[in-house]
Amino acid sequence: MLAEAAIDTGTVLRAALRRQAHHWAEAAEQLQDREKLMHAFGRSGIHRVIAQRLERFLEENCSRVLHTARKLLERLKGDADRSQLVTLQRELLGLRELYVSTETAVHFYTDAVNTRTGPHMASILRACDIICKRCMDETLAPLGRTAPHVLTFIDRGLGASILRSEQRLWNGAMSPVAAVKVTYFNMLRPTSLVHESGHQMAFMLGWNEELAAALASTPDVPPAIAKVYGAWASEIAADIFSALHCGYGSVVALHDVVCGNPLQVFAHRADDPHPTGYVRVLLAIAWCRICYGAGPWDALEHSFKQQYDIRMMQMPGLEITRGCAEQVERMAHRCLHTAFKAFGGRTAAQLVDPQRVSPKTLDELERSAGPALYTSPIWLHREPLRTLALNSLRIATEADPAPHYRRQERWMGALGTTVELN
Amino acid sequence: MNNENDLETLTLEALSPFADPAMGKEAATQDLYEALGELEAVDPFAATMATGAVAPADPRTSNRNATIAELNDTEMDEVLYNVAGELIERAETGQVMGQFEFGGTKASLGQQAYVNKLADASERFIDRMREHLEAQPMASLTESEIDQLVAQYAGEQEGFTPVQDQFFDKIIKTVGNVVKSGVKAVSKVLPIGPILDKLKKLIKPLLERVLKFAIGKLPKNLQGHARTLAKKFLGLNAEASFANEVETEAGVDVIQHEWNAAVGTIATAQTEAEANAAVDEYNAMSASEDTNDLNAARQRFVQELKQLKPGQDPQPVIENFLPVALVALQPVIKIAISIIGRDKVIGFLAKPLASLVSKYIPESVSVPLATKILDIGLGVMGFETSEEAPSVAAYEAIASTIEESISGMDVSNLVEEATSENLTTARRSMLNAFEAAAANSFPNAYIKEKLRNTTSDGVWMLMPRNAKGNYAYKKYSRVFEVNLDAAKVKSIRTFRHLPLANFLKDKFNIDLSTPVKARVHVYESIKGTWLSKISLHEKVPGLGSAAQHAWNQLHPLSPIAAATLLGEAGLGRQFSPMFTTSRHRIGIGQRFFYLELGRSPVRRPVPTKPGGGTTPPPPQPARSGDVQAVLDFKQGLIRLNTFFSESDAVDIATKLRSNDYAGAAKNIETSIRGTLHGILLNNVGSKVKIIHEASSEQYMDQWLGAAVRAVGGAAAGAVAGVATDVLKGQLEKLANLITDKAVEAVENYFKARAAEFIAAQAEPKDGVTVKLTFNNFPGMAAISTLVQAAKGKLTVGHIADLVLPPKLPMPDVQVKADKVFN
Repeated sequence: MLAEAAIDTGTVLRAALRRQAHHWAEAAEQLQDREKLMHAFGRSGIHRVIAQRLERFLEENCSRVLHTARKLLERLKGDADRSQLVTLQRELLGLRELYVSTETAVHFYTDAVNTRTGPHMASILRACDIICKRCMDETLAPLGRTAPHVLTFIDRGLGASILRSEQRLWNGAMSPVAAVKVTYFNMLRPTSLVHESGHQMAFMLGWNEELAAALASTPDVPPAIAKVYGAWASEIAADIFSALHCGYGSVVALHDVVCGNPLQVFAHRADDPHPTGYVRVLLAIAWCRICYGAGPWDALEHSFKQQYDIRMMQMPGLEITRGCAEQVERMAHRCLHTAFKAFGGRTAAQLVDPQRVSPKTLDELERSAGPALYTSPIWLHREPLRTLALNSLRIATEADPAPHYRRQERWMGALGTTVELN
Repeated sequence: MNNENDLETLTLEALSPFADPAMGKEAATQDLYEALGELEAVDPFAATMATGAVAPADPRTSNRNATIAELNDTEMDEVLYNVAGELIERAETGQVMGQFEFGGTKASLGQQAYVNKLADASERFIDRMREHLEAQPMASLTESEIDQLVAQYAGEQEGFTPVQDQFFDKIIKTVGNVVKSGVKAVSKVLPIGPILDKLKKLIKPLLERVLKFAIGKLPKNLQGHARTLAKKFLGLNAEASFANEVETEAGVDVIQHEWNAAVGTIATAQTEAEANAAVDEYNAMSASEDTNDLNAARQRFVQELKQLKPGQDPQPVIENFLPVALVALQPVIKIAISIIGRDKVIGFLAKPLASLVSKYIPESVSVPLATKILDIGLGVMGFETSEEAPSVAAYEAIASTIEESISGMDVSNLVEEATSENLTTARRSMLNAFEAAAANSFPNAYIKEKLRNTTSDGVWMLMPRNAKGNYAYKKYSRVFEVNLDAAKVKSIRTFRHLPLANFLKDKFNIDLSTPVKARVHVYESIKGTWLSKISLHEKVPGLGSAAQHAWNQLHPLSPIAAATLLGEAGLGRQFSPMFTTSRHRIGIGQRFFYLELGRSPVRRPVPTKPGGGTTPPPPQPARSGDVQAVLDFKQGLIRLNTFFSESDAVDIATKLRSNDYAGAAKNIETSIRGTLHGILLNNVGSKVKIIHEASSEQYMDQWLGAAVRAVGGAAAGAVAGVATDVLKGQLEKLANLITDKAVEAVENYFKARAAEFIAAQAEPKDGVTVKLTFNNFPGMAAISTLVQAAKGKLTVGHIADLVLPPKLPMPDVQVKADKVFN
C-alpha cells in the first residue's frame, strides 16, 4: 500500500509514454539508414533513378515518423492532466501504427532490392526492369504518356504480381516506383513481366473500365456470360498486352502457370478478377488463331482439352465456365478489334501490332540478326521484347528447349548490363 | 564636365547597344567606335615584346623525349579527367573541410578518402613489384614475363569505383613499361629498385595535381602563359586556335604530359641524384594558386556595384574588376600590362566601359532589369530565386557583358608590340565586342532590335544558381522543343567532326527515319568550365552526373547547328578545331547543346572483372565510328584502322547475312567516305600516328610539335606555322588517296570473307575494326621526307614538293571485334 501511494500515476504514465516514444523515434532512425537495410550490391545493382526515388522515399517516410515522435516527445515534456495523458496515449498508439505501417512499406522495397544478391542476379533483374519499362514505353509513348520506372524482384510462388507506381501504400504514402514480382520458376521465361506491366498501362490509360464495358456488351453473347467476362476485364487486359508483345511464347507460359489441379482450372469464383483458368488459356489460344491462323497453338489447345476435359467434370459453377468457353472466339475478337478511347480510338491490335511477333516474323528476325541478336548491344537495345518473344517461342516449340534456356539466361545477363533505363 | 568628357559621353550614348525601354526610344546608331581612339592621348611606348624562335632541342632532351614517347599512354588524360569528375562529385557543400594530407590543399573528406585510397593502393603495388624484382636478375626478364608479373597484381581493388579501377590499371601499365625500359637499358640506368622508389614518390603529387585541377587550385605552371610555353616544350597542340580563343581551364593533358616527362626522366636517370632531382622538380611544380579568382572578383564587383551611391562613378569599381578579368580571359595581355603599366591600361579600358554601363547601375534601373532577367529565366530554369538582393542578376549581366567584351578584344598587335596605338586598337575592338556582349547578357527588351542575337526572349544565366557566386557555366533560359529529322541534323557535327546523326544512331539507336522529339538545352562555357561540371550540375533527365556517359552528351553549338536545330543562328558560336576535337578541351565563350531525348542510351558490354566484386560493371557509352592512320617507316607500310560503330556493324552484318553485298558495300562506303574520312581529315593531329626510327611512336600533334621546333630553328616563327599547315595538307592528300583504296579493298573483302565480319560483329563487344595494311607502300621514301623535319633538315619548300604515289596496291584486310587501334 505504501509503495502504491508513493507512485504518482501521472508521472509514471508520462515517463512510460516518453520512453516508448523515444523507442519508436530510435527505431525510425534505424529504418532510415539505407546501408543497414540494403546490402551494397543490391543498392548498386539498381538503376540510379530508381535508387534516387527509393532513397527519397525512405527519407521522407522515416522523417514523417521521426517528426511525429519528436512532436509527441515535446508535448510529453510538460505537465499533463489525466485527460491530456489519455490524448497523448492515443497519439502514442498513432505513432506506433505509423511506424509499423511505414516499416512495412520500407521493408517491401528494401527486401525487393536485396533480392539482387550478386552480379548475376542483379543483371537478370535489371533485364527484367528493362523489359517492363520498354513494353510500357512502346505502348504509352505514342499516346503521349510516360511509363513509370519499374523495380523487379524475385520471389517464390507461381504467380507474378505488381505493386503499381503511384499506388497508396500501407502507411498512406504513394509508391515511388512500380514493383513487379518475378517468380523463380519463370525467371528464364519472364513473359509474365509484360502481363504485370499491362496492369500498370491499363490502369494509367483507364482501359480496364472501357474493356469491361465492351466485353459486358458483346453482341450475340448471352448477357450473363458477357457480364462475367466484363468482371475479368483487368486480367484479360493484361493477358492481351502480354500476348500482343510476346506472341505465342507468352500463351504457353500462361498455360503452364494455369495447368494445375483440375478443380482450380475449372473453378469459377465470383470475386476473382482472374478468368477461370480453362477459359483464360482458350482465350489466349484464340488470339493466336485470330492473329496468325493455324499454328502450334492448335496442338496446345488439343492437348489442353485432353488434359482438362470439361465433359468429365462435375462441380459447382461449371456451367458458367462452360458458357464462357463456348463464347471464347467471339470474346477474343471483341478484345482485339474494339476501338478504345484509351488508345486514341485505336484497337489493341492496332496499338501493338501482333504481326511483329508472329512465328514467321520472329524466324526472319533470327535469320537476319544471327547470333548477334543475343550479344550485340545494338540488338539488345533495339529488340528486347521481340528477342524475349523469340526465345519464349523456341522454348515453347523446340523438342530440346535446354539450349534456349541457357541462351535466354546469357541474353538477360547481357541485357541487364548493356542497356540503360535512362 | 569638360568638353572632352562631353564628347565621350555623347559618343558612347550613340554607341550604346542598349535600347532604353524606360525611355521608349532607341538611340540613333552610327559607327563611332573609330572616334574613340582620339578621345584620349596615350603616351607612346617604346618597349616591344621580346619574341624569338624556340631553340632546337639538345640531343639529351631528344633522348629523354624518345623515352617519354615510348612510355606515353594516350588514354591517360581520359582517365585523369574521369578521376577529376569523380572528385568534383565528392565536393559536396556542407561537408567538413579538412587539410589534405599531402599538400596544402583543402579538400572535402570524400575527396581525401578517394585520393588516399588510390595513392595507398598504387604505392602498395609499387612496393610489391620492387620486392619481387629485386629478388631476381633483371636482365633475364622477358617482356611477356613482365606483363604476367604486373597482371597478377591487377585484380580488382575492393571498393574501387570503376574510374579508380581505370586509374589503377594505368599505374600498373606505367610501372610495367618502366620495368621493360629498365630491362632494355640495364647497366645504363639506375637499378630497378631505386627507379621504382622514385616512381612511387610521384603518385601522391600526381593525384594532388588532379585534385587541384578538380577544385580549381591549379599549379602555377599549368596556368596561362606558362602553360602555353609548357605545351610548346612538350610538343602539344601544334594546331592553332582562332584569335581570341582561350581555353576554359588548363587541361588534364598537361598533367598527363608532366607525369610522362617525370616518369621518363626517372626511368632514364643514370644517377640517384638525377632521379631525386626529377622527383623534387615534379613536387616543386605543384605549388598552388587559386584560379577561381574570376568568380571571386565577379562577386566583389557585384557587391561594389550594389554599394554605389546614386550618381557615383562606377569606373573605380570596374577598375578593380578588370585586372582579374583581363588575366583570366586574355592571359597573353599580362606582358603588355607589365610593359605599359597596370594603371594606365586598366584606366584606359575601364573608362568607356563605365560610361556604357553606368545608367544600369542605380537601383531604380537595376531592380526592374533583374526582375526582367529572373522572370525570363525562372520558368524554364526552375532555380530557386534566393538571390541575395533583387539587383544581383542585373549586376551579373553587367559583369558578363564586361567579361565578354574583354574576351572579344583583339590583343594580337598589343602582344606583339605594347604601344599606345596598339592599346587603342585593342580598346576599339573591346568596344566593338561590347555590342554583342550586351546583346548576350541583357534581355532583348533592353537591346536595340538590330543588335539582338536571337528572336526569342531568353537570357544567359550564370549557373548553378545555388553555388553562392562560384559559377561553373552559363545556361540559356529557354529550352527548345524540336523535332529531329535526318534533314535537320545532316549538317550538324559534334566533337571530332562526327555527324550528329551518327551520334544519335550509335549512342541511342535512333535512326531518324521518323522524326524524334527532343528538348534542347543550351550552355556556354566560362572561365573554369568543364563539360563534366555542366553535366553534374544540370538536373535534367540524362545529366546530373560528372560521369562520362553524361558529359559526352554535350555537343558544340556552332552557328550552323544553332540555325538548323533551333532556328537561332545567333545562339551558336564557331570555334576552331582545337576546341572541337576533344571534350576535355573547350574554350571560354564556347556554346554547347544537350539533347534531352527521353530515350535509353546504348551501353558497351563490359566484362565482369575476375572475382566479381561488390559493384556491377560500370555503364560505358557505346562508341561511335573512328579512324586511325599509322605511317610505319620502320616497316615501310601504312595502316588504316577503321572502326565501325556497333550500330553500323549491325547494319552491315544484317545485309551480309542476306547476301546483299551491294548494300553492305554501300554502307561501308557511306561510313568511310561520309564519316571516318571526315574524322581523319579534321583530326590529322590526333588520328595519324608516326612510327619512325628517328622519333619512336608518336601522334601527329606530338610529332608536329617536334617538327615545328626543328623547322623553327632554321626558318623561325611564322615559317614554322606555315610548315605545319603544309605538312598537314600533304597528309590530307595522302588520306584521300588511302581512303579511296580502302573502300575498294573492303568491298572486295566482303565478297570473299563476309563470314569473318559477321562473326566479329556477333562477338559480345562494341563495334568492329577493319584493319587495312598497305605493305611496301610506294613512295614511302618520299613520304619519309616529312620525317626530316624532326631532324631539322626540312624546309617548307621540301614539304610542299612531296609527290604522292598515283596508284596504290591493294591492302591486306583484317577484321577484329571491338576497337583495336595501334
